[in-house]
Amino acid sequence: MMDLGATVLCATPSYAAYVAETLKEQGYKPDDIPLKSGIFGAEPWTEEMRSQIEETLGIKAYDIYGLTEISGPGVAYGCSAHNGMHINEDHFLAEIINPETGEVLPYGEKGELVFTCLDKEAFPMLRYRTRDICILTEETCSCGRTFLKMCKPLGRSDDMMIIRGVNVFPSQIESVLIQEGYSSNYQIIIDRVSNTDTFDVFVEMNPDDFDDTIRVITAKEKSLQNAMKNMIGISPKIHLTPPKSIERSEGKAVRIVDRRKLQ
Amino acid sequence: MAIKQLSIYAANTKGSLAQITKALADESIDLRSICVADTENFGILRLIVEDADRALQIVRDAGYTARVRKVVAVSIEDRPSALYEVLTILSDAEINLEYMYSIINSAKGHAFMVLRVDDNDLAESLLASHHITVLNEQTIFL
Repeated sequence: MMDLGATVLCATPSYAAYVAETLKEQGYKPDDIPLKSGIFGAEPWTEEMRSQIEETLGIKAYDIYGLTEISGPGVAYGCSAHNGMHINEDHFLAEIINPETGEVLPYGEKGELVFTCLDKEAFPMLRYRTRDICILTEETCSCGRTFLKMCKPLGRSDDMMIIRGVNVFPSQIESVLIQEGYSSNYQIIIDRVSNTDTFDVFVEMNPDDFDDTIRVITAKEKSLQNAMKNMIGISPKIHLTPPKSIERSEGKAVRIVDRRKLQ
Repeated sequence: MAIKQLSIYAANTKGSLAQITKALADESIDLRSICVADTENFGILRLIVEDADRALQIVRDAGYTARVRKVVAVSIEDRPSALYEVLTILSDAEINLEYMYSIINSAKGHAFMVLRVDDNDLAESLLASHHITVLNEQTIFL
């Protein structure tokens, strides 16, 4: 960035935090780099994180929202008011629906965001359900723009997780486990340490797989990790646990424990 | 002939090792050798006992994950360099040594060692051809 004189950084917020950390480790100050602003998205991030990135990189940080299926990043973007994002209504029609009934809700109410492409060719989406929950508002923003505003997504109406900017479904984890011969007694624990998401999968080992050498058990963990990486694109840390060590539950098993505080 | 070793998965939780040794003590299992291989998340407890199969049943009934496997045991002179000589025999023959540990014995002047290799028969015949005393189930507990 320094060599090329880059003034704008586009990345996930956690990667920006990582760049800031590295900058500090290498002995630089925010003023030493030519960056002026950053556009960050693809994963949820808080106001606190925005302040931290602005301070540690010496930039103004803006929010961006998008979906691969619609157009990629740029469906909506934040402005200097930093309270919501403007939807590019000249290209996308936004609606809010009740995720259970599909009923279209008025602006101001919380519901699932739905987009329709107005000028996309070859693969336009018509009323595409994003599964992101948010609120749409019409009032004119203090920045002067009059495009419809969406708040930062408040959650999802499905069980998809976003880990290090990658979409991960619990069903994907489960299918890899079963394919590799493990039981479906597993737990996923997601947390955030030093601005990076940590992703741990705990699964019960088959009693027959127990070996007297650490090497064999570690190799099994590594093999499962590779299978996961091939399926979902990122590598969880695998922990093989003894049989019966994962909590059984009466009703729906608690498979996902997300300890990140993102809202 | 190789001797039986009992290995038990030990969770990395408080009291884990204590509980396992209690399960064995309650059934009067006498431990002749014990060591723990530890990683960040778990440990493997390895034991030499007089009746490995009985001990296996005891720990399995108590809910532990365990298995019995045969390992090579040798008697070496209790002097500096004796162990080095045995290990050199194995490494010169490119026999991979996974781990090793010692066993309590009453034979003065001799030390008993467990050697975990992939091919027990090969290792034993090689060591015997170098005049190293290989132990079996009968001689190990003397």
